[in-house]
Amino acid sequence: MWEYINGETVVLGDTLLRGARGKDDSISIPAWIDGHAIRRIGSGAFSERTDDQGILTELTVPEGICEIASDAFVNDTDIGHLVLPESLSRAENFRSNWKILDVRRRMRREDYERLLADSLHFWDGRYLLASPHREIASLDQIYRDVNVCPVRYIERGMYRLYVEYAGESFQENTSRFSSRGPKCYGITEMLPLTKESGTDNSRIAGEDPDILHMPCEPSEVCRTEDVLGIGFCPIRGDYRKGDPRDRMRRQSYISRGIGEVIRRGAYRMQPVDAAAQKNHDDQIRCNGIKWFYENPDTLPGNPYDIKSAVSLGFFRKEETRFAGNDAVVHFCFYKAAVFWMGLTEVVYAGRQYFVAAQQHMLKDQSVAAWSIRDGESWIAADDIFQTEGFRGWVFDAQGKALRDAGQVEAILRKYHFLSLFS
Amino acid sequence: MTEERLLVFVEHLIRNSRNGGIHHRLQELAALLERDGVEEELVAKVREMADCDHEMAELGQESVKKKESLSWPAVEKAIRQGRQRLAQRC
Repeated sequence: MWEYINGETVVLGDTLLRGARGKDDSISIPAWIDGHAIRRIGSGAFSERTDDQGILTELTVPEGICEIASDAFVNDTDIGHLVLPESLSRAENFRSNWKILDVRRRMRREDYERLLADSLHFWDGRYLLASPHREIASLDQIYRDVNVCPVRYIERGMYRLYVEYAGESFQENTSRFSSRGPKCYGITEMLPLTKESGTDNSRIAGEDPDILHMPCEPSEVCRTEDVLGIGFCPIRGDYRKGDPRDRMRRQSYISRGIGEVIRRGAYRMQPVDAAAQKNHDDQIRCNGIKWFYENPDTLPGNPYDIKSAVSLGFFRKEETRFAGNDAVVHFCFYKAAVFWMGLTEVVYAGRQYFVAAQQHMLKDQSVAAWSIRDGESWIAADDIFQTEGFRGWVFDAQGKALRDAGQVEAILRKYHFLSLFS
Repeated sequence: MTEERLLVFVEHLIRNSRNGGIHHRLQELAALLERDGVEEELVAKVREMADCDHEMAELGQESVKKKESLSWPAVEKAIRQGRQRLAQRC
């Protein structure tokens, strides 16, 4: 075996046993050393950094690397941009805390056809992965430290998901307006990160029960009203106590208006006939709300804690390349987190206002990332109105934040009164 | 790979390193050596070093501090200490 030692760089055969790390927040992975190709990044190769070395935020693995062993990058938790080469054919759980949300995966044509058949087709050409954990297979832990910074858009009583990140935007109806207090919705965010991986990449996330650190029932996608959201329900036990036997069931709701909606069975998306769909709708109407946590205090900590975050995997046909009998599918992932939002309609002085209590579970830094958007004007975290017993936003039917303290307090008085009966 | 050369590899893998990294790297090294057909005894030795990562980390720090190369007696001593520690833990 070829041997190479130079400072911290140690290579044996085609495996980089230890990589050199600079004092800045980047590292360089050699693809060739002295005319010898590096094919493999060994376990623990970049697992450490000294106190004077920055945390890795970006990583580009050069073309030619075929395998990344587990724990190759143990202590780098802030990698938000990762580019992996097409040559990569095996990547174990080489790091658990990365914010990787894009993946390019090579798969056989027949697998691709099956993927198409299994996935939900949206009106804008996106396909929602039915079972990412099967198709993408276990970088799931990569998501553990993903921070969610969604932006909500409220338009005439309709929640809208509005996601904007580094120039990318994504908008989706999330729920019909409700004045009935806290509810649970999924919100998503897409990060324009790039990652390419090989055929043996393990699970990314999506419908991955492990994201919740507890077993889940397979989620269902079902026809409801204008909802794209995710709810969780406990199936048995008290998961707040961390009982591993506890189970959660996730229900995903996809809007009627955004394309073909089919119900997902245990493992595959299956078209459903009208009768079955109606039956299912009825069940949802009868029982659906019960499955949601209506009281945010029942959540174990911050829902933006990754324990409550999931991601939805999407891909587009037009972004798929074909190479021989392989399809290289580009998946992107929308982060989804559960949050509780108490939005109450208050009619005051003959006009309609909305009071949005602050997300109960958000940490302060997460709140700072929130905004409500109305056209071009933004209602930022600065617009949060805080008084004894209330912290949140008050805005009119056009989504315009109220800044007049007297007016806000009058509305809040009525809001608190209404809350007694909600 | 000769014993001396192996020692050089080990030294570079454990210097300025912490337990976790050392464990992973030495396990990786053992797997590579095994795949390459290196004699079993040597591979087993490297695996033992990986198990005694705590002691190996100390050895690595000491080596840097004293600016001394790793020696087999020092490695053997570290392994013995590691075995004792692991035995106590059990």
